[in-house]
Formats: sequence, C-alpha cells, structure tokens
Amino acid sequence: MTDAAFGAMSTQLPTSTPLVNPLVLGRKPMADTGPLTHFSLRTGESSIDVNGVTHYYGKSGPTVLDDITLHLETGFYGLLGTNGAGKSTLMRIICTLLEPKKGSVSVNGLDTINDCLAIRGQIGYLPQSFNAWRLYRTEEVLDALARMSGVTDKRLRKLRVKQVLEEVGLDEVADRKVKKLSGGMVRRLGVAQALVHDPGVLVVDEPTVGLDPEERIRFRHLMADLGQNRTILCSTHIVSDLGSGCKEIALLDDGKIAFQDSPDAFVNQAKGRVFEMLVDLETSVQIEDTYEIVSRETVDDKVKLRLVIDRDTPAPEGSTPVDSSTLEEAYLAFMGSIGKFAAVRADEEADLQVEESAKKKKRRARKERKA
Amino acid sequence: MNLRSIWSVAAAEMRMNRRLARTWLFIVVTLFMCVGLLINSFVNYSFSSSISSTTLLNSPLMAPYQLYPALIGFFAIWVIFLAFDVRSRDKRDRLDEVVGVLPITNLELVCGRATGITVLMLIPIVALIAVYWIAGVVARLTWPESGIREPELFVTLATLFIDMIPNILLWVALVMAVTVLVRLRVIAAAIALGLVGATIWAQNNVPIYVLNVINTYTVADTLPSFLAPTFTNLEIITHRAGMLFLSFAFLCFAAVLYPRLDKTNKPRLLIAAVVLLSLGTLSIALVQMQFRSEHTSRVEMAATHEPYSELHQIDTDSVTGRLTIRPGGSTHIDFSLDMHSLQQIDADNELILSLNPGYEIHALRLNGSNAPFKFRDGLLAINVSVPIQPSQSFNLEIEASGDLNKDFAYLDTAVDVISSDIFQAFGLLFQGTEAYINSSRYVALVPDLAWYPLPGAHVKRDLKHIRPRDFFEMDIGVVVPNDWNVAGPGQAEIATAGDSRLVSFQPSAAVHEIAMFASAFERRTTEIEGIEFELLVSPGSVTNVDLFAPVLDELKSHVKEMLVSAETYGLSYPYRSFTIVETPINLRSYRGGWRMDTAQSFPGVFAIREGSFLHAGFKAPFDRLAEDKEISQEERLEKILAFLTGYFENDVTGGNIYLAASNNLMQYQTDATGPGAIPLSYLMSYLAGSVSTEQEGFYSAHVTMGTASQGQSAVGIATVARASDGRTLNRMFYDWHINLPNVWEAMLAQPLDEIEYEDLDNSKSNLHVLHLWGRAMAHLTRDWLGNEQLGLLLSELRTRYEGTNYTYTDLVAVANDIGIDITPIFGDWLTNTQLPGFRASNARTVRLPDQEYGVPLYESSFYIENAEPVPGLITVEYGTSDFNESEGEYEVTQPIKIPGNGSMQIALTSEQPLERIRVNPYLSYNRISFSVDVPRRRVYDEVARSEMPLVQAASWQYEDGDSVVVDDLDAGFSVDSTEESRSMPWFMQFLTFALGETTHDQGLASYGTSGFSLVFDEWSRQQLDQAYGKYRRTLARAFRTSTVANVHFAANLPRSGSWKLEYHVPNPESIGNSFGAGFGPGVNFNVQVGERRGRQRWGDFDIWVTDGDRVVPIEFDGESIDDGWNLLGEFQLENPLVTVSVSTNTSRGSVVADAIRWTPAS
Repeated sequence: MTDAAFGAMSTQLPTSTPLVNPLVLGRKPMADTGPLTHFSLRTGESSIDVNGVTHYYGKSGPTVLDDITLHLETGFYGLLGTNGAGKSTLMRIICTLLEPKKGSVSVNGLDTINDCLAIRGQIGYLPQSFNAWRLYRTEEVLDALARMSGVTDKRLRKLRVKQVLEEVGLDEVADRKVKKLSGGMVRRLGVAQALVHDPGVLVVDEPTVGLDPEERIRFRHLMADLGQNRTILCSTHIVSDLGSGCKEIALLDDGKIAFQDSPDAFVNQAKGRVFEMLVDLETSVQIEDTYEIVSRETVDDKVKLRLVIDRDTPAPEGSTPVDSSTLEEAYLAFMGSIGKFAAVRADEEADLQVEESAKKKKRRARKERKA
Repeated sequence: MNLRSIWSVAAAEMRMNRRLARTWLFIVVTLFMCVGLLINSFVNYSFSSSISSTTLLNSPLMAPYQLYPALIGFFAIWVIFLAFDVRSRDKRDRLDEVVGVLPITNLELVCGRATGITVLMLIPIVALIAVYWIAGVVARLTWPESGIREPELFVTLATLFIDMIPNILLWVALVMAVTVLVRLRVIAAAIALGLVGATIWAQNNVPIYVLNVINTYTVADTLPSFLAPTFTNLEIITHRAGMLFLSFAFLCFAAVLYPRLDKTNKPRLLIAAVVLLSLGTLSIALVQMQFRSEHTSRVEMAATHEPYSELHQIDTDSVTGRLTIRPGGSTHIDFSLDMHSLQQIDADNELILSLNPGYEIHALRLNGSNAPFKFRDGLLAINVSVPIQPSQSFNLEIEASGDLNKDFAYLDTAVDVISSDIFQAFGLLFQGTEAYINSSRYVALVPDLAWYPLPGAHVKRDLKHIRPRDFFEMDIGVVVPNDWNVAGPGQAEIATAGDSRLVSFQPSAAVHEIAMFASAFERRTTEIEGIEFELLVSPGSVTNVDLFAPVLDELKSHVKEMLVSAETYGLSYPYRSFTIVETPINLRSYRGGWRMDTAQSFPGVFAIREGSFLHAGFKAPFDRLAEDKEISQEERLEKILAFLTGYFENDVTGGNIYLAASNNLMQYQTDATGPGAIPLSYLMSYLAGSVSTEQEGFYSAHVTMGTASQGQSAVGIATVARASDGRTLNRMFYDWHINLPNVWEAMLAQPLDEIEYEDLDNSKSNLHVLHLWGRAMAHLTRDWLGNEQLGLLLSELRTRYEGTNYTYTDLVAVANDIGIDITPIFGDWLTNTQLPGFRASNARTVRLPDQEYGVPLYESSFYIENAEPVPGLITVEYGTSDFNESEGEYEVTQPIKIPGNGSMQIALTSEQPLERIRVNPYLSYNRISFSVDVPRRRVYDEVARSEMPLVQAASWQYEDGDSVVVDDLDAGFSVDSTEESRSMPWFMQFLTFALGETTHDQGLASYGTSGFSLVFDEWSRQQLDQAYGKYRRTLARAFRTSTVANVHFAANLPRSGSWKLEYHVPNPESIGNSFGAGFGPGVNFNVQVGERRGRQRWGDFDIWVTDGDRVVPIEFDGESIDDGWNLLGEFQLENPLVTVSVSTNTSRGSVVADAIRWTPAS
C-alpha cells in the first residue's frame, strides 16, 4: 500500500476558495451568446476529506466506522467492501445525511456539519436505495431536483436535463413516467439526478446494482469521464465496476480501512494467489468444491479455471500462478487473505437475487405492456 | 429563508399532487358539489322565489353565502389527504436521501410543500369563482329571468384575498405538523380528521361569543350586498392574520421536527414558532376581545339607560330641522324639537333623552338658552334651570354631528347574538346584522339608532303599557349628494342646489318615528287616489318592477280598492305618500325589545329587502301565463296580480307590504297604552289590517331565525305542503310554530295582564301567546261585529285618539258611544284565563217537505254544549263534500254564542244531505275545530214540519252514562318515563321545519302539527280529530320498540263487580301521512315510511289489566281492531281502582293509547 492520494492522512484542509457550483443559485455560467448545446462547467479542484471518522448508530450501538481517514481529490475513487462494511454510512456522512459521532468530514473545504447546506449544493448523491416520484416523467424528476438544487434558470436547466439524460442513456424515455421505467433505467435516473446540477463531488452508492453488463460498461466509462474534473466516490462490492478509470481504491472491512491505494497496487497485492488451470470436467467439479473460482471457461472438452487461494492454502496441482490478475480477482484474493471469502460470496448471491428479481420484473412489465 | 427554494419545492409539490388521482377526485367532487349547490340554489329559487320572500336564503344574491364556505371548506378538508404523507411519501418513493442532500433547509422544504398544496387547491377555487362570475354576468345579460347573476364583488374579493389562503394554509400547516409529529400517515390523517370534526362540532356547539374565533369566512360575517357592499374590516383582517401566524408557527414546528439533518438553528426556529403561535393566538384573542368589548359596550349602554327605562317624562310635539348625510362620512343634525312635559320637572332636575353616542353635540339650547347637559352612552341628560310644569311646552334645539355608533340600536333585544345558539345566530345573520349602514353607496338611518333625539331612555320602548307611543309632527330637510334620493315619511319635496340635494319631508299626519334611507336610487312614482306611491330601488333592481308594468292599471285599481275600502271603514291612509324603498340585505330587518318586531315597516315607508321581491323569479311564470292560450287576457292579468298578492301573503319574514301599509292606518296614528296595551294594540292593528287589505299574517323573529337555518329543502317542503292544502305559507307557519300545545298552555297559565313582557327570557313564549290570542280574538271580533261595525269602531277610535294613545277603557267608551257592545267578545279577557269548552252530539239528518218545484230539503241538527262557565262563540262549517279536499264547498254560519254551562241545538238545512259538519270555536279548550259525526244513510227519515231555527236553546248535556272513561289527557293517564322527552337527534332536526316545533303537550312530547308527524320509540302526544277527547281530541302514540315503556289508564270505578272494558282506537288511515323513526338510546334507528293513507294497519297491542295484585293479559289482535271503541272483554273486578296498561311492544308500526271505557256488564 502506498501513501498516495487515498492514504495521505491529510489533516490539512485545502486553503483554496471552496468551489461554487456555477449552475446553482441562478448564475449563468456562459455568456448568453447563442443556444446552449453541450457544456461542462467543472473546472476547479474538488475534494473530500474524511478525518478520523467514527460512527455508530444509537447511543452505544456497534461501531460501523472506526477512525476512518481519507483524502480524495479530483478523480474517480472506489470504495470497496462487503455488505455491512460501513460504505453506505460513510457516504451518508460525506453527503451530510448523518453526523459522525467522532471526527470530521469536509467537502471542498466545507465542513459537513457546519456548512451542510453549502455542501449540498456541490454534491451529487446516488443512494444505494433509489427510486423517484413514480408519477413524474423522467425529465421532470431531473428538472424538479435540479431546480431544488438551485438551478433556477429554466433554459439552462432544460439543457442540462437533456444533456444528463443523454449521458445516462435515458434520452429516449425522457417523457416516460418513472413507474414505467425498468430497474436499470431507474438506477441510471439515479445517476442522472446526482449529476443534473453538475456537482463538483459525486457520491454514488452501489450504482450498478440491477444494471445489465452493457449498462455497467457504460457507467464505468461515464464515471471515468466525469472523474476528469470531479471528485467521485463510488461505493461498490462489484469490483469490476470500478474499471481502469479508477484512481484509487479504498477497501472497508468491519468499519476500518483495510486497504487504500491505487488499483495497480491492489492488483499487485494479489500476486501469487491467483492461479489458472485446465482440467477435465470431473476434476473441475472437485476443484470448484475446494477453491474459490473466479472464472470458468470451457475449452474443447476441458474446463479452464481461474481461482484464488488464501495464504494458507496450497495451490492445486497443475495450476499455474497468473501474472496479471483482474481487480475482481485481486479483491477476492484480498478478501480471502482476511478470511472473508464467504462474505463476498454472500454478496454475489444477493446480487444474483437482485438481478433475477429485476429480470422477473422486466418480464412482467413486458407482459403488461403487451397486454 | 430562500423564496426561490421554497417556490422550487412548491412547484415540485404541485406537480406531484397534480399527478395524484385523489387530487383530481377531490377537485371534481368539490366542484361537482359546489356547482350542484349553485344549480340547486338557482333551480330552487326559480321555482319558489315567486312564492315568498322566505326563499331569500336560496336567492342568487345569497349563493356566495352558501357556496364560498362550502368551496373553501371542502378543499380545507381535502388538503388533509394531500398533506398527510409529505413525510412518508419520500421514504416510500425511496427519494428521502436524495431530498436529504438537497441544498434547502427543512423550513424551506415544509414551507415549499405547504405552498405547493395550498396553491394547487387555490387554483380550482379561483377557477370556479371566476367561472361563476363570468357565467353570472353572461346569464344576467342574456338570460335575466333565470335570476342567475354574478356574485357580489366585494365579498368575492374578500373571499379570494382574505379568506382563501389562511383557510387552506392553516389546515395544510397543521396537518404537516401532525404528520412530522406522528410517523404513521394514517394516524396523522385520523388526527387531522378528528380536528376537522372537532371544528365542525365546535362551530355548532360553542357559545356564540366564541364562534367568531372559529368562523373563518367573511361571507358568514357579513351578507353579500350589492347595495351596501362590505369588503372587510379590521377584525376580519386581524383574525386572518392570526390564522396566518398560526400557519407559519405550525410550519416552523414541522421544520424543527422534520427528520432530516438540518443545521438551521433549531432553538431559534422553535422560538420563532412559539412567537408566531403567540401572535396568532393573540390576534384571534384580540378579535374575541373586540367582540366582547362591543357586547360589553352595549351592556353598559343598556345599563346606563335602564334606571330611566320606565320614565315617561316628556312628549315630542314636533321635530324640524336639517339632516345632512355625507355618505361614508359623518351625519349632521340641526334640529329643533317642540316638546311638552308630562310631569313636573323641577329646577336642577334633568330632561332625559336618548341620542346616538356617536354624535358630538355642538350646541344644545333649551327654550333658546344654552343648557348644561351630560351625554354619556347615548343618554342625554339636560339640566333644567327653570321648573317645567306638567303639559308645559318647551323647545329644544340641538346641533350635533359624528359617525353614528352602530351598537347603540336595539340595546334590549330579547335574543342577543351573544346569548343565542348557533342556529339562532345563522337565523339572525340571515335577518341582517347591521343596525346602521353608512357607506359611500347607501345610508340607512333607522329610528332605533336614535339618530335624532328621542324622549326617555333607549330601552323598553316597546312596553306600551309603560311607555306610550310618542306621536309628533315633523318637517325635516335632508341634504344628500345631488344624484341621491331619500325615503322618508310623507311626500318628498326635492330641490337640487349645486352638488347637493335637499329632500324635505313634512308628512300630513303625525308620525311616531322617522326612518331615512338614502342612496342613488332610481325613483318611480305613481298616484292613486291622491296618494303618491314612490318606489326607490337600485338601478339593478328595476327588472321586476318592469315586469308588472302590463298590470299597472290592474295594480292601481287593486290598491285603489284597498284605499277605498279602508276609507269606507274610516281608516283613510294618513300621508300623501307611501314609499317602498330597497334596503341592503345586511341591514337588520327585525327590531329589538321583547317583541323583536319587523324593521321593514315605518310610517309612510316600507323597506323591501334586497334580493327578495325585486329579484324574485316572476318572469318565468309570467311567460308561462303569456303562452297559455286557454286563458283570457283578463284572467292572465288577474293571475299576475295574484302572484303579487300571494307573494306577500306567504311572507313570514316581516316583509308583507299589505300589513306594513295597514300599520299606517291604525297603530301609526294611535296606539294603546295602559293595562293590556300590548294585546290591545296587537288586536286593533290586526283588525285594521284585515278589514282594509283582507290580509292576515304574523311575524316572529324567533320563527324566522329558526327556519332560516334549516336549509333549502324546507322551502321545497313548504311549497309542496302549500300546494297540497292551499294554505298560505304564513298560515302554515302559524300552525307549525304558534298554534302549539306549549303556546296554549302558556296562554292558559296566566291572564294577559299578568304577562311580564319585560322578562326577555320568555319573549318567544309571550310573543307567540300574543299571536295565538290576537289572531283568534281578531277573528272573533270581526266575525261578531261584522266589517261595518268594526270599521265604525276603528274609525271612531282613530278619530278620537289620532296622534295620541288610548286605553281599553277608552275603547269600551268609544264602542258604547257608537252603540256597539263589545262585552260578549272581550268579557274579562285581561284578567281571566278561563275559556269555554264545547262538546257536540252526533248530527241527525231528516228530510223535510220539498221546497218549490220539488227541490228537496234536508235538515241536519245537532246539540252543542258549553260545559264551562265562560260563554263562548263558535261558527259551524257544513257542506256536502270532504273538507280536506280543496274543491270541497262549504258554508259557514255567523258566530253563535253558547252560554256558559249551557247548550244549543243547531239545525242546518241543505238541498243535499250534509256529509260534513265542523265546529270552529274561536278561543276554547277545544283549541282547534272539531268535526261532528254525520251518519250517512241511503234513505233519510221524512218529517212533516217546517225547518227549525238555525240556533235554539236546548238542555242537552253530554253524558257517558254509567261508563267510566279515561282519556289520555285525564289525570288517570300516566307514562312510565323518567324523562319528559328526548331531544330530537341532530340529523333529524331539519325536519322540524316541515313538521313543526317539538313541544310538550301535558308532559308528553309533541312532534309536529303540520299534517306530518313523527313517531319515536317513546310516547308522544298527537292531536287527531278521530281520537277520543272531552274537548281536545288527542292520543298518545309510540313507535314499536323492544325497550318497553308503558302507559297506564287508571280508573276509579264506583264499585267492584263485572265490567266491560273498551279501548278507543282511531281509524288508522286518519293518522296517515306520517312517518316515524324509532331510536332507542343509541340502539336503533328505524325509519317507518309505510304509514301512508290506505295502507296503515295496526299490529297486536300488548295490553293488560291490573286489578290489585292480579294481572290479566289481553289479546288484542291488530287485524280485528275496529275504528272507535273496541270491546276488550268482560272482567270481574275486585278493586275499585283498576289500571289498564299498554306497552310499546306492538307487532307492527306504532301503538296508540287514546282512551279506555269501563261499563258495568249488567
């Protein structure tokens, strides 16, 4: 692990003037010289500073976050961890929805407790559990939330809504009511609402739950693009969602930072624990029962397996260590190293159920539409 | 607080609620109901407005009075269902965290949401009012006969700008505060609905002096008047400001409690909420205090006057001078009053007068010299420096100006707002609340305002036995703007100079009070028999006047006929002019004092209320008449004229122009004083009205205020009822509200001269006794004397006492002088409550020898006994067909005197056998007319003799033989009940309009006297011609119930032994037209609507006889019950005291307990 951006442990707040979202408060960011088509307003630096944050629910509940310190600057950051690791709590604290019991958080140099209102104008948040007013049309949701976020200029707001809808691929369903959107569309709408007022800081909690692979790829690209001039903190337990655009990864485990460094460093820590082997079908079944399989590919009459072992388990015979593992494999390896394979699998099971449920819902919706 | 943020939240909230199905449901339901209410109002009005001014409540003028509170009230309830989930909705939509990070404070969030819901609800309200307005204007211009017109502007603006927002916002804010306090939206809604229910309950139950705290509609405070519109006043503004403060306080509370992290300084917000709450409470408390203060001020003024209330010190001879009216500004008087003293007034004593305390007295001279005076609370006490001898004349000059105090009028009203209940309050409001109107458009100066100096104190002026009427000459010039006209006593002489106009009034006869009404009236005049009839109405009210133009000649001859008729009786109209002036609807139409008489009638002036006759829907029926080809032009004109007369005949609101005009003939020229002055004055006035106009009627503010609050359906019922039996509405109201058992009992309880009219608590009873006695006495007098003698008496009385007062002794002397014996009529009416009581035998019909040309002649004779020592008078109606059918023709005899404890035989001859004979006693224990049984035969006995005289003395006496009869009115009758009567449940109370008042008749409840009757699961008493009764024919009746309540007929038999028992049951069909409801104490509510004529059958009665310790049940099969006496069996009785009991446990419908009869079996 390095002491790079994530691990700076910086207690120093930025001295520069806090960023002001130029869209909000009715300011017109561009000279009114012609029709607005596409624009990006984010130019300044943004940051999130989490300083020694400890949190627990109730007066003396179990500690959810334990002395967390993070420093995030412009870029796309991933926050990994199994369900219940404390990711959402940390995000709620950053987004001013919760007050930390100890420590402090500042966004763009503004304290989340004392300047929460100012921070809210500069932050976009996609909660883990998101839906929207069912009777609103897609563009109306964005329009209303943008307006309430301070984008009072109607023309600007309209353009911004259009732009964001295009960015998340919802432009074709702009006038469809929310209740008629699929789960993936609602999730994208959630991303859109977080972006619509063009915030400097974007906090997205499990953004890809319910999205199909294609949508996930699109989301990854979007985040990478947006991360050029924003601070994006993306919480997920689906490591592949972070992609190559991710600047830093922090891994939360039981309320503590278990890892924080670049994706490369994260991949590197997995060296020697990811193996590959080509076996027959019968053997593959035995291997799958014993080891954590990352991927499975049929090659002719053989099965090509990639698996992760923890430090105390010997590699299976016939397997060869992999030189460059994926983020997912690295995550699994890391979790295996701390004895959390089961938790990861539980998350995957939960994801499968969610996906299954989403598919069922889609099928039902299709049937209804046909009917 | 950022207004942009609030509005952005509001916009989102509006959009959200706009998408909710329930929002549209609420809007559609409300609009549907309100439009329905308007349509119902207009339709109802179009059908009934030409019948009577009683329908004024339904008039288009009053439509806003009903519509606006309903419109806003409905939406105020609906907002509960929009605001109750503002908190849970975000969570349900999983948007709470997104909303949580929006850059808005909780206060902005709740304010925004409250604003959104409020604005959304305001839109349909504004839209409906706008549509109503436009439709009203269009209808008025294109379809004037519909009566539909736009709502009055000022009250509409007040509703839109002053009432609407506070009413909606307060509920939204309250619901939001509750919503954040309790998390479950269902509970929040339940609490909010509970609060709505509590408000409705409070509006119906709180003392009236608290009502203004919860009354949130301008239109409920001030009636919508086009003539004198009112926008608002400081009290209303303060009240609504209070509502807004409360709303913001609730929003602040909601913001503090809102479960969303918000770094707003919560303690500061909480303090703001408390401050706003305090301000709101204070504002509303201020309104209440102001109301109390006004009341206290009135009480104090009355208290100041009270010590002088019976002082009858001076009498006015003439009032001359100038009155200057500055519309909307001050009033100026410069008067000279010639007076004379009625008693010795020593030096340093005071002359007591009343003058409105709003005046500032600039100069006051007594006999030309400045006189020291004290002027407090409207009591003007002028110090007398030189003694004034009895009858000595003196002159008082007074110059004063000021804004008159509206609270000074009617200081001693029997039913004051502060002491009335909510139903009375609505009734009072409907009858107008303003004693004084001084706006830029209209000025009304009623005499009770004491806008000119009045001798004596300003209370108890209507106690004529103590304070005789003060008649005086007048010559007053009124200065008004040059486009204004003035209504006043006598003919107006108009002179215009510059921008003002001088209107002078110098009536040719004395007046006792002066009313002045000034406005930019349209003036129309016509002369009939040398009298100028002047009509002063607002330009918008001439349509109906024009409608009668085609019958102007007939109308003039109709009026001429009355004038000539009055002249014939020596009751000529005293002034050279009679003015009909339109007055604003919010001008109080009833006076003060114990009687609360109509305030629409003044010397020479009739005040016609805005929205009544002048806006009644006459055009449609007139058009129908015009289209009817089957009637001649003459008939058509007659019918049009009949509409006019019928309209006023049906009036119960004190707006009968005939009676108002006839007041000028007698009681405005001379009036009674001394013992019995009040009933005597009533009688003479009634007689003068009936002989000159052939019109009768009564006015009781108590009745009007009761009926006004009982809804529109009442008018429909009344109209149908009127159509069914041909009675006028006024007569129907008399039967329903005056001719009641409790009024009779009150009348019989004490002689007229012992009635304490100054006891305001009994004013209703006293007034209704007066109406009951007065009407009967007037009929008796007129029938006994005949029009000619009566006219002679009235004329002589007026001639002798014109401009002064007379006593009963004076009346007797006048009668004696002209050779009329009024003793048989009056007897010792003042001091005696005893009445005659009549019983009649069955009639016997025989055929007499045929008349010439073989015309048959039948004679029906019967005996009638007056079993009381007091002599009495009756008339007999007889005919050959059913009296109940309107086409029934019958004849009426002249009054027949039946001596005390004496009897007469009455023989009636006819060419066909009589089928019906009815005895009409005037004032008797029988109370109402009763029928005489006329047995019908196919062949009648023929007798060879000439016909008997109509009346001849007889010695017949009604006898029961050896039988012992116990009637339901006898002392032996009793009911097992600890309570006299339960009050009618609120949801049935509206029926009292149609069914008459709920009263008590000898301890039992009596529901309705209108032909309908209610039967409850408790015993009540019903008057029925077919029932048994010595004088009054009544029975007790109850709806069947398992909650057994028994009645007992206890008889004291002369001996034990074998006795036959009979039970009297009237024809079930005679009880017809009734419907009943049974509801035990909160147990059951059974509506019985099956007792229609021809379908009624009795169930099995549950009867038993108790003879000492022995109880003998009796089987009394309903199927075998006959009309009249039914033999229940023969009993061997061991005790002389034996009781027959009946329970309510019958098998069908209702059970009756009328009378039992024991007859020795031998």
